[in-house]
Amino acid sequence: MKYIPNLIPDNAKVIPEYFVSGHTTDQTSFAKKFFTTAGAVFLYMLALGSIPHPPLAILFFIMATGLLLPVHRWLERKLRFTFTSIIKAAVYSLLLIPSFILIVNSADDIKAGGKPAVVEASEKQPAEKQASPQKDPAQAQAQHLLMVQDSIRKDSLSKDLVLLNNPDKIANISFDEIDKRYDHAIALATSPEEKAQVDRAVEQARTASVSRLMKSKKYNDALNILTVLMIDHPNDVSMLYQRALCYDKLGDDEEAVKDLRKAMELGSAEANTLHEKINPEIKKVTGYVTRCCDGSTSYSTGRGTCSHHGGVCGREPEYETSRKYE
Amino acid sequence: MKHPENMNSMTTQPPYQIVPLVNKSFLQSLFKQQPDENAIIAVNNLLATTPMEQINRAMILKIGVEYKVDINKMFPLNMQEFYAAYLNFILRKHQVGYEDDNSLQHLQGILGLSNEKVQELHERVGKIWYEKALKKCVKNGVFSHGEEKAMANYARNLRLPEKITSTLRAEVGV
Repeated sequence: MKYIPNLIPDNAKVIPEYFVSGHTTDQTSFAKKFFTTAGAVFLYMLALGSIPHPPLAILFFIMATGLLLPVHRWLERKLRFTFTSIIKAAVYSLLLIPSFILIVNSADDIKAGGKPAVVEASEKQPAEKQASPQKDPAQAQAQHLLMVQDSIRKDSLSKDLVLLNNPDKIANISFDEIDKRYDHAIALATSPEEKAQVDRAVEQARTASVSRLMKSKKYNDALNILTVLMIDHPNDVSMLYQRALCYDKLGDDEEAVKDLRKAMELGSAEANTLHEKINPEIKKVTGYVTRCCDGSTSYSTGRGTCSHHGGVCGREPEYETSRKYE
Repeated sequence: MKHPENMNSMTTQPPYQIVPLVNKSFLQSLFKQQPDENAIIAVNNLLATTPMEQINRAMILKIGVEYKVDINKMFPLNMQEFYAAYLNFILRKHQVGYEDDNSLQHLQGILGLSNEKVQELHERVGKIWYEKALKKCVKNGVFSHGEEKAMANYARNLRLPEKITSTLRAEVGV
């Protein structure tokens, strides 16, 4: 209910004390009041529950406040428009998209490290405060800022690690994308432990990527990737074996044997098996020897052979062994 | 019975003036909404530009539909003010009352005002006119029988109940 003043000319106005602005009553239905208040309370509770994740908490807080009827009317008055249900639904849907993304990220963090980095940071805070209780506020603020930045860095790093450690996700991304993720993650990693963690994750991701290529019989692509990887890991038994397998599939047995020999030297049993298959031992008869009945051998072939050794018991061939690729 | 107000030019011109419509805000333009207040301004402008007898209730309802507003629910005070201002205008014009003026009844119909609300407005506006007339009668210190009869007649024309007139007479000391 509204009153628009000054429609009647001043000299024609009557009972002005009766026709005044603010002479209005609230006509909002009880059901509307109830549901908007309940919705706001629910969103405020979500905001409280999301305090460890400040952006999410702020979004929920904004949504809750926007539902309150006085705020709703204030917005309509200040922005001069009617905040209809359709507009409200559209605005809330738009606000829910970033909320959903933040919730998913938060869940990923929890999966990766047990707790979101921000929570971890906030938990560390009291311990650090205890260690240095005499710091001035400016210093404390700077330290807090650094902690927030560090927690954001950890969040991003953890996101990269989650992706690189997830075989299902990694199976669908290209080798170049793994490289990009690696560059991003290694730039974020500051401590040697974190760098080692990134290296391990990337190695696993690359191996998974190679396996995927080999499964889909893209041996040439897998071979190229392995060759690049082995620049940094020349003695990696698994990579040597996989590259040998690629060479074998591509018909280059000689190169396969080279890799397999190296892997065998490093103690790979599966390399040995594959080597025996690709480059088996070849036996060639070079001559025969006479076996005497006392077990000794004689190269004599005439009469009297083995006469002092119990006589001739048989003739046995003598072999020379070799492999195709020596 | 004469009043100073009766002497001015307002006795001939209806008490309405043309008011410019409010411009749309950015968000109203974006969401293709009309400013609500333009609905009541449109009604006001209709009253200001069209002779009363040519206006009907359908024209007011059409404005409500155009602006997607229930005018009587959203702007009840403005609708009452239109009536009260016209009632005041009629009182000035006829000087003694409005019992024969059908235009008030027509205005009540087009503005969609209830009989109870109209009676309340008559009492509020009539009270002012009755009090002025009463004060003028007793100005010379004498309240004659003829004046008493005229005032009773005036109160009836103004649709003022006995309770209000007796209170006013007591206040003035008659």
